[in-house]
Amino acid sequence: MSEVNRNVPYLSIKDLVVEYMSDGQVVHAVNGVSLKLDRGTTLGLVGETGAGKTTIAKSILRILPDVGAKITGGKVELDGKDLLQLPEREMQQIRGNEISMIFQDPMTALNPVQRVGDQIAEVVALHLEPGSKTNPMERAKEMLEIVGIPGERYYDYPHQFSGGMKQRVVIAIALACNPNLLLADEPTTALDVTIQAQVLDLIGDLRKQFNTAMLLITHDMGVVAQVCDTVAIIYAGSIVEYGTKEQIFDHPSHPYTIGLFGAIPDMNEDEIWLHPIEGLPPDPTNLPKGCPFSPRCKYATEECRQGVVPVSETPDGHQCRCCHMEEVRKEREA
Amino acid sequence: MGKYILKRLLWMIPIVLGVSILVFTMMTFCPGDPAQIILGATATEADLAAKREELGLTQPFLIRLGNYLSQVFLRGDLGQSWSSKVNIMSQIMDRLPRTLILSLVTLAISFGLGIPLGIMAATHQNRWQDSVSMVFALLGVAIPNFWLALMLILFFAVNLGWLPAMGIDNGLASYILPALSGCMGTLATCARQTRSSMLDVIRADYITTARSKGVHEKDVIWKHALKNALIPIITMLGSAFGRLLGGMIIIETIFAIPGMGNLIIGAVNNRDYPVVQGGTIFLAIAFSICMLLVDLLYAAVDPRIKAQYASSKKVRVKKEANANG
Repeated sequence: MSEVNRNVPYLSIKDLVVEYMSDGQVVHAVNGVSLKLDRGTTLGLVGETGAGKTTIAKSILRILPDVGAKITGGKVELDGKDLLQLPEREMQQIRGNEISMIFQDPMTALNPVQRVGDQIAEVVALHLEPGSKTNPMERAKEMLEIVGIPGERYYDYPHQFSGGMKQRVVIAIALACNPNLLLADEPTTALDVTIQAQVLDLIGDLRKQFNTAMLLITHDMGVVAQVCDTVAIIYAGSIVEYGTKEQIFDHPSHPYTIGLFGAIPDMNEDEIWLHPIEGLPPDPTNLPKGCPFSPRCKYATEECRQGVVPVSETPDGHQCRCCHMEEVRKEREA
Repeated sequence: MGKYILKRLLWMIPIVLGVSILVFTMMTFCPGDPAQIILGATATEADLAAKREELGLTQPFLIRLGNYLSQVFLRGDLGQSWSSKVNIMSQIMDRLPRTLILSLVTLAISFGLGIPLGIMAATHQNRWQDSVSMVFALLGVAIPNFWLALMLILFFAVNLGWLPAMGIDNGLASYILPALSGCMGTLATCARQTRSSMLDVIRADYITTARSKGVHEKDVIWKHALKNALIPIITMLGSAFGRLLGGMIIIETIFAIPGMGNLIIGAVNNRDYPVVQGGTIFLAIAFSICMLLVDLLYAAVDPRIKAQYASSKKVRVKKEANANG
């Protein structure tokens, strides 16, 4: 393992641009996203379906579908090393070992014709250090026990497991090699509410043990409040607001972020109606000029539609991409 | 699982019985007088009547059917050929292995080339490899196999002299050209089926999971994707085998291979009813066994199907337990 450089963040994404080709049209999925993540911390990536969250995670691992998807710009630096420039062989050694991913839908994330134990053992066997005495099968059984599944179920197939147990297996696969970075793509969305908390706790415990950093993709603000250190709000492939959890929750400055909070029911208030954000996300093949949120934003003026809105940053690092930030903040605080 | 196999084997009895009755009835009501064909155009009416009597054709249909079924199913005797007087069972035992070998070699070539071709097309979707494979597959379906057979004979047997042009005197080498000529349709269908089935599978989430684990691309395709894509391919394998067993007549004729196709066609032309019936019964049995093997292959490939086969037993056990308790 390379020496930890205190000044360089562990993971640093710079101006990432990803495009898909679909029916001859270019889908602008990710438009110049920059993110930073330190060892052992958690970054929440929050946004609607189709905002580009999963695409960002898959770009880090370079597992975007090879037909149609293309990373057209930017850097993904891990410990200062640009992953996008690595040869495929080296990338394969990083996948599952240094960086691993938990997928959204446990029902489809496991190979239906392979024993669950073998699926865990496979990742262990692939990343064995030369001369290591680890037995992949033993390690797989150990991982099953760690995620709360009896080791003798190694020989079962995915169809013999419930959804929650499948997600535990997916987590076991992701953590079997003690990765330094975990990409968790809505790990609880497909699960029952009662299981969600268990799975989140499990991920949290395991991360603490191994000091794993995590990029948590979600659209659930409650989950963010529970586990994240920093939060990035993404809209139509761009980060619109970025800061610590406290900054985002206590001083949301982007109209979209505030809209997200308005869509959460509050137990303490006597609200009859929730406040959904009016309108739909823009068509990613034809993004509006200027701020992509402007067509749905009640603060929008001509200025917003002129050109790319610059990011403004407060001295304590709270970033926001909005022309009317001050106005929004004042109104919010009033 | 053992119980499942036994159940399937027992099911073969009504199937074969049904096939026997069907074929017997069809042969009885098909036009043409066997006595006339056996004795030739010069036979007198008295000779013909005597021959019909000898073959038992004067008895009522149901009595003949009953006699035939009891002869076949109770005594295990297929009788003898009307035209050549040879025991039908020994004739079939002579010829069935040749047709089996020819079908198996044909299948081996079709699937041995078709699956990699389909995989190549799927993993290079919309690129030149894909187009080349699919044009090849289209040609495979379009080329008539008798024409291909003649071209292959011309090239490999006549010009190059590498392989025999006909007959079965050279062991397995005799079967290569017939199999090559007969495999094109199956190969093409197999390649297309593999392509579409692989295209479905390589977009599945678990393939992304495999990639995210750092599995090498080659293993992603051959280990993770192919096994999942195999079910429709196996289905095709079963039906292709059935088709080949009965449908190699053209190839058997061109290459002068004395197989089942030749036997049955000859018998149909001679109105040699017992041979047609015996041959068809054997093909039906071979086909049923092959379908059973396909179903077992499903279970070997997909644990979910295996669980289904086993579960019918479990349900019964549970019902019994409920009844007792």
